[in-house]
Amino acid sequence: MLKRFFYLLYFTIFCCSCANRGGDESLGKIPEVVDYNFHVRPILSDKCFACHGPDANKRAANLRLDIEEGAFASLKDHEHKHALVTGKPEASEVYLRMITEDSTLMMPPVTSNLKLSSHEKKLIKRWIEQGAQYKPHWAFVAPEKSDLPKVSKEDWCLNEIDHFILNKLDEKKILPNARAAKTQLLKRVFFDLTGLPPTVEAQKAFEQDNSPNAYENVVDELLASPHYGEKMALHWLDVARYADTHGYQDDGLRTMWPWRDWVIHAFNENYSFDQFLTWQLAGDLLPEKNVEALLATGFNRNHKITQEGGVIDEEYRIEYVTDRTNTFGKAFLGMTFECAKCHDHKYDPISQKDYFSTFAFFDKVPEKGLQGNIFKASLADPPFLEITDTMIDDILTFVNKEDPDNVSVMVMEDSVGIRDTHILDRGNYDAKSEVVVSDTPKAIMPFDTISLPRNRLGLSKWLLHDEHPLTSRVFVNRIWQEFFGQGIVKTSGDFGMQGNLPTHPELLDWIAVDFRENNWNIKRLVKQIVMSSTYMQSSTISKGKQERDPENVYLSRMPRKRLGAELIRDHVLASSGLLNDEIGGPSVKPYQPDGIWFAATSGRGVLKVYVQDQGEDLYRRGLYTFIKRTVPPPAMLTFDASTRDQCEVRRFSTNTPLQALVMLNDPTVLEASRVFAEKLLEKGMQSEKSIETAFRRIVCRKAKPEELSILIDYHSNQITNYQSNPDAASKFISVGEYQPMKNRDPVTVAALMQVIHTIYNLEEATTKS
Amino acid sequence: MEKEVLEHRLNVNRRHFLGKMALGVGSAALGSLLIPDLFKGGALENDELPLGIKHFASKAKRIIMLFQNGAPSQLESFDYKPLLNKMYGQDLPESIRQGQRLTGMTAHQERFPLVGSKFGFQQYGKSGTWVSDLFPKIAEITDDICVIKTMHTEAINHDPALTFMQTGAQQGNRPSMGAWMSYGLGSENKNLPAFCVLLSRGKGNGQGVYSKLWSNGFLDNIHQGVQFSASEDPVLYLNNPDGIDMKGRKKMLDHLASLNEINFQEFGDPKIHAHIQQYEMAYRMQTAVPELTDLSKEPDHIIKMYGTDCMVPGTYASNCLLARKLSESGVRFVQLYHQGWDQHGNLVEEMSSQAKDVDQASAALIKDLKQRGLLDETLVIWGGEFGRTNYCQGKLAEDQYGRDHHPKCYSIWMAGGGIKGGISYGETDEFGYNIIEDPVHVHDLQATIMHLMGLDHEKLTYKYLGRRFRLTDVHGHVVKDILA
Amino acid sequence: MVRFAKIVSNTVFVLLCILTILLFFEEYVRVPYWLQPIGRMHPLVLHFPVVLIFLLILTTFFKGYLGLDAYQKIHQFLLLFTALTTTLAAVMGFFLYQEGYDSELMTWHKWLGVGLAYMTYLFIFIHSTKGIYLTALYSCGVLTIFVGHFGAEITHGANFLTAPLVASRIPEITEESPIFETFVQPILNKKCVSCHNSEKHKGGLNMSTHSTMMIGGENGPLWIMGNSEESQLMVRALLPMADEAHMPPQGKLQLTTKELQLLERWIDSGADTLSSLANLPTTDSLHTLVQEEWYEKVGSKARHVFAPADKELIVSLNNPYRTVKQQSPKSPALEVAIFGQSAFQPALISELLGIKEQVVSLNLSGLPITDTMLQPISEMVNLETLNLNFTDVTHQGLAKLAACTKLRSLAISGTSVTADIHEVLNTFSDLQTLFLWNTSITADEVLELQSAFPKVQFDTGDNDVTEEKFQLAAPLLKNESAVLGKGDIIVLDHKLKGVKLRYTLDGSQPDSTSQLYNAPLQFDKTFVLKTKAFKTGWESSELGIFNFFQKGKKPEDFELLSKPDFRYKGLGPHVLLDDYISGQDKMISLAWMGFIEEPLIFMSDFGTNPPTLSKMMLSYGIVNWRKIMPPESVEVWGGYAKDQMKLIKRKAFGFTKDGIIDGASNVSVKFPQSNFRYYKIVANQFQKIPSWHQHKGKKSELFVDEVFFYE
Repeated sequence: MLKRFFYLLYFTIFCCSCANRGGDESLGKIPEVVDYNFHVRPILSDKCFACHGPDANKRAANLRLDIEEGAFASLKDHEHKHALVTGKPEASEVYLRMITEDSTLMMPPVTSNLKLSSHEKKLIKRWIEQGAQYKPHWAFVAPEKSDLPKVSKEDWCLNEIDHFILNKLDEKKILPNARAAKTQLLKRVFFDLTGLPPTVEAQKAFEQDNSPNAYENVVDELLASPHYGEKMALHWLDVARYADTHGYQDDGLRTMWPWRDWVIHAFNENYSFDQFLTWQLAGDLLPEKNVEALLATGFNRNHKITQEGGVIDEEYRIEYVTDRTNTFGKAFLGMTFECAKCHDHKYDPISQKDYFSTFAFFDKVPEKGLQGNIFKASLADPPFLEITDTMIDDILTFVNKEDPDNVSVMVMEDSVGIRDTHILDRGNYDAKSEVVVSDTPKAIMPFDTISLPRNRLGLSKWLLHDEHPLTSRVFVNRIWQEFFGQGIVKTSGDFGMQGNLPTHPELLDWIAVDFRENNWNIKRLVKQIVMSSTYMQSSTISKGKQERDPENVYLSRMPRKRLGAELIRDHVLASSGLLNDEIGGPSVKPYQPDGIWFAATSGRGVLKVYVQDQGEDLYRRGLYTFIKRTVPPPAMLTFDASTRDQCEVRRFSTNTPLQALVMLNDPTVLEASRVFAEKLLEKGMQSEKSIETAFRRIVCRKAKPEELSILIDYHSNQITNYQSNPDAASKFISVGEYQPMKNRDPVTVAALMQVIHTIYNLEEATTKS
Repeated sequence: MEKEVLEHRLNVNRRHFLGKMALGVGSAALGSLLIPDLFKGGALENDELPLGIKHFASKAKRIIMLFQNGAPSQLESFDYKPLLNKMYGQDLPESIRQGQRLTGMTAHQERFPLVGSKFGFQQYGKSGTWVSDLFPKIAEITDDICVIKTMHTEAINHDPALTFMQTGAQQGNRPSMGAWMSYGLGSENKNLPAFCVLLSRGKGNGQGVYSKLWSNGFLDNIHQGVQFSASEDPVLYLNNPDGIDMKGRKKMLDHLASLNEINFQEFGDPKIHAHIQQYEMAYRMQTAVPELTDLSKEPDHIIKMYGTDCMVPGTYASNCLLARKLSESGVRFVQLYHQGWDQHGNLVEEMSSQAKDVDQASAALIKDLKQRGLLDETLVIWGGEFGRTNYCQGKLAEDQYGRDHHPKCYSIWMAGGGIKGGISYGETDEFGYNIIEDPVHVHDLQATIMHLMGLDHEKLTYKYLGRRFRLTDVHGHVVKDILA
Repeated sequence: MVRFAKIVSNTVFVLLCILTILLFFEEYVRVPYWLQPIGRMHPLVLHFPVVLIFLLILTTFFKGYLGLDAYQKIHQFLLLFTALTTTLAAVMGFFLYQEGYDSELMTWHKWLGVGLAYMTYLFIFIHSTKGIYLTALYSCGVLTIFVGHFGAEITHGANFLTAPLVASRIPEITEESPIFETFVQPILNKKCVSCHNSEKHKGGLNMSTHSTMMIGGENGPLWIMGNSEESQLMVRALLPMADEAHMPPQGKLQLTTKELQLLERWIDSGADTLSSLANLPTTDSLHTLVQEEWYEKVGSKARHVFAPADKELIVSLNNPYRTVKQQSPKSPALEVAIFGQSAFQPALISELLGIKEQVVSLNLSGLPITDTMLQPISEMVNLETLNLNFTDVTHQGLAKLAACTKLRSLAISGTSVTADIHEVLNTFSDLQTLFLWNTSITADEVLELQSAFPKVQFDTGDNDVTEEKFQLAAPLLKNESAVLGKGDIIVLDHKLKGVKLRYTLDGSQPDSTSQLYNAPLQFDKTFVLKTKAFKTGWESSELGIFNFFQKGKKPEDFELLSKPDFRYKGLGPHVLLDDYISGQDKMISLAWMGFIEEPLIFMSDFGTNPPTLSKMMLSYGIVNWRKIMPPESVEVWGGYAKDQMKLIKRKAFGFTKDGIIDGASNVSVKFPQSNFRYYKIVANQFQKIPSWHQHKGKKSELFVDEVFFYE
């Protein structure tokens, strides 16, 4: 009798978890109309596709649920039974197996460790009742501009973005926050566009300027500032996994910094995104040779390179090409390509063949897996571009090179017919099978072999095609993320079935198309964002909003966000007046706790000990800090900086006690406090005034009286404290190599320094609110 | 006095948070200490087990991993192969090698002369476990340890093999074992990191380590391994600057707290309270860590037990002693790395000195845990990233030889929490080249370690970029036979 | 009768021949299927010889009673049948044996059996020869017992006899015990293993251990995880009884429906040998089944049966210094640990009263806990593990814990408890281990305790090392820099407490009589401090040698005219005048500059009114294995303008083997008093390292960390 049941064992199963949080779903309400893309697929994908999805090898019971045909076809061993029966949950095996109590029938099997919430069961049920309609994955359908939705308060909307945002808020019956206080807004836009705090002068000027376009003027100013490029570059360096060493165990020195200088240059010159992309992907293949474009291709050589003696050459060469392929997938397509290297993708329609066809684009480089070793360390493995002074004089003017010697940068180069690309079984370098030619995953968009060459140039043309569903969306979404702390698609690195769904799909599509239609103009896009009243909202969180929308999915307020690792440094240096705002050049080595490189080194190579830089170089911006991949700058790492180990499109923003320790004890912050204090004292300001100024420069607003009184009280308290203990004072102010102020009085300096140091440690000081 | 004042302040704050819990404000921050991932929105899914608590009852509460970086030779330590001495200088039969891939270092070698251990072997303990003369002290504790002779891995080079051992994947930036433990079980002592890393270097040929090995990967930063250094600053940025004492620091924190509080009134952002919390925890760390790193209170015979080196910061011995103290104070996962085991040549000399550095302290750690009643709840693991070849690399001299990397079999040992002491598990062939009985893959080891800690390696997952990641990827079986 | 006897004995003879041949050509023998039934009758037939042989023996005792004649008749008659049946049994046995039994046990059974057959045949002829015959017969009786026993073990599985005795020891079953071990395996043992074991593997299947089950038999593995339907085990068990392939075979003990269900669900739930009630969801049908049908009956109750504590309460009890955790999601038991000596308050313990019933494990090690603070603990009636290592408790304190009768493990290492603990111990009836290491309790006292409490295991730790003598580490110098001005102090230190530091300032070796260091030393001018650490019970330390340098005259400006090696730039030229000299251990540190290609050429400018100088000193490092050696020569140039410098002194330094000890050292050059504005210092490496050195002939490297100028 039990045996009869066992036949069922081979059918499909359903179960799931609520993928998108916040909003109705989280409140457990089943929407009137259940949408496949927005409600059902996340469930199926997350819990079912692993065994009943695109991966043919792993497909169980020959049942495929990611496509309509598969789901409605009659079941393998039971021709009258169907996984899905339109309108009839009770006849759909899918639903039956979903709700069964018996662990031996339940799907997914207990062994899968996946479970199904009652909410999700309900969703599936209603979806089937409503006809179990399949729709293509939203991200694979080319975006189209929809007309602006109606909103309750037209006047609130400063541009299109606001229409979409407000429309959603109306739906959810949430009111947007009021416009942010001027000071708040100024701090926000300064950090977002240049990564630097507004000077007191800038604050005052903006305060007084009541002209209608006061804010716009500031924005234009900032967009024109050379520091805009630095700020925008920061994120791109994460994407491009830029670093100053080769990575892997011995981790020798490399010179990719001229490429970094190019990125800054490109953003400052506002290169259109299509040029930005084409040059980095295929600058070497352009019809007319172009040194600058060639330099740009360094993008694909930023991956790690081994120097460990005795490795197998091919194993690592494959590793490099793999890295390029995965980076390409994540950076431009927002797809988790890496999942398709060893087997067909479990969730997305990317077969292993697709993977290696894409792989083929990057596989034609005349390179070796191991170039010498750590002892005969090479700063740039071939192929490379040797930058001479003459080049710099006439073309590469932006490369900040002082050293008279030439500097070599790794770049891309194809030598046609150098090798065939094979599918590698289970992704193993030595398990070559079928040969493949360069191609892209059909499901995303077929590769038009007639009009496009089968090389990286063709690939970038493919990406930039008007019909391409992803390129524009993915980039726009990441820019959005950099400003609002969270992308419209939260998983900015995964637009596939498993990724989060866009919170504002129409908005995403609208800007994506708009961006493309306006020749991929990045500065324009950025301006569009910062000029929206959505962006200009205040960031206060009312009780109600905390409960209704804890994650601020609907942007009824501006998120408060801790500054990124590099920006914290920039802020500390800039506000204290220590910052050396030189742009570009070889990376620098500021203060770092003694011995941490040596503790980890194998004792080989020039980088086994950290030789700290001197003078001005100690005060460069964070993005110029030397990144040794095996031992990244500790303070930065503590503040969630990327390890530059592989392409990262999104940083965490965590909160740990170690961060507190850095702010409290890092000589950088202490020295800044000292120098700041000394500079103020040199001006001969009396303490109250100087505390006020310090607060204003660090927190970027006037201190409230109660705040001021606390600080002043603390200050006088410190004065008495240090008077009773003068040598503690002189010890305290001995920090840092920056020239101490002439004939200073330890006690006064120490006391003020202490107060300033406290201000630096305020939550608000390092928060963009 | 000073303490009380502080405590008062902290308590005030704490009460304040508990008061705020109604709004779900403080709770997030407070929770973040108990269950680190409560703090990150997406982490806790309804189909995941509660974090910060075991999946099932188990003996082990903490782990100390004595990682022998560079791959110590199994043939000179625990895998006794007299045949190799008999066949000294003869070639390794192709029938045994079966086309195993070679590293670039021996690929060019036209001969593979077998070479046996220059060091004698004896059987020890009730179990009669074979141990080489290089490890007299470890030999004394054989009845407490379980030697696994049949570990095998996939990579043949240090970086990938090491990364594989620690993160379950050869490439990519995955969370390290310790980070997984911290994520799965939380920290026992909230004033210390749940995952600590200690580095030391022997005189042998070294292979570097890298922070990726104790990275939190895609897990919350709070799970990252915290490196303890030999310098004056045991934890980076732990010490107050010159001229600031704890009292002064406390005063500053109090002012900070009240200023931040004002700001909270304006913005009502829970992050502000989390911030205050982290500063308090940092302060507590500043008091907790020195209590630990101060070895001066250790009784003489402890120091003799670990060897006098344990008084010299940064040595393996002192790291072992520190590891015990950290573990004793509730650090979930203490990870040691000891460099210098990469004996491609000059093996006899280098291995002697390496063993000398490591033998006594490793054994002492076990004895010390035992006499405090901690061994039952502490899991200790000793071993490297792969084994070494049974044939000589380079020229085979009278009493000097070297061994290349060998992923197909190597030996490690475990002791303590939930481990069956006094056994040796698995058998390799008489050439010490292939496994003939009970292989243990790295993923199996990881699965077993997690099982011993009360975690199901298939259930402890983290969803990142659409995929549920596990320490053991999609592999791994618990090695039941070595469980007590 | 005689005729009959002939026939029988001949039959036996024939059978024996067959047997002999069969045995001889064993490996070529293929038993035809129609003979198999005969083989399978072996278990039936074998009982005849067993009985008959014992009858034979029996008759010998009643010889007198029967009378010689009758005895001989009966005896001979029996003898014939014995021989016949024995041989028959042997032959049948051989056929059966061909069906795939193979093991040491089998070989024994086979050969002894055969031996028995030959013997019985022999008896027919020798039974009249008294002496030999009787001994032979009795030994034959003994033999029979063995053959029988081996036979039995093969059919019913090893230790068939002793099994019941072993079985009587039932292990404790908790909800953590694996379902496979505790419930599934017993069924298989009971119903399958008798035919599928290491001795006898019908169908090539051995079910004695999990691993062998996974190997499976001729028809593949026993089960497929998560798929009972295709699992041999279930398929066979569910076949109709009539079916050939049905298991267990007809006549054998069959599986009950409940047992079938258990196996089925266990396989379907993934056949995980480790899953236990504790880690199965309660809704899971396997869980329910086991819970209802097996667990309640077979297993004793879960170890912890008390009510769980309130979740909120648990959360609120967690604070930075105290961790309260559930043992496992299903268990009400709580584990508590308290940390932080400096922040400890008794409240941290007393607040636990809210969960006093649930706490099973409490860790208070290293905290300043006195007897009085143990009061709340006495109410934790379910406490099983208590760690009080290195606290201030005494046995009086422990006496308070009388109520904690479930205590299994108590750790009081490093406390001041004495042998008086004796009085307390009998209150803890369940106590299994007691950790007494590092207490005043002597070995003899432990022995007494041991005899008084045989159940308890006393762990006194590892103290045997204390006899050995170890060498102390050398004293440490606290001063950051070795460059001092008048009146600066020199501070020595040693990590080990109770160490005496002795030193000399005259360059002589310090010994146990030398000057004792008890306060920081005052510096006046350049000297070398030699010091050693002493402590009773330890070997005196290695020699610590520290050079101290007097601050020199500082030039107003300076520059480096030669290039240091690009790896060893240190912090730049200024390190040569930063009054900082660090030890050799930091040779690669930033305070040093390394010169490999070029010599050190250093130009210093003493400004418009220069001081009078007559001596310069160079502090350098030695690392033999790295070719880092002293300078071969040092030149001092003087002049009033940079472009017109003249050599005022050149000094070459010869070095002897024993002069080259790794570490920091220095050379000084005296030159005629002068007050030039500029002084140029040139320090050259050895072009060829002297022949006695391991790197002989190579160029040496020069590592410098300070340059001094003196009046």
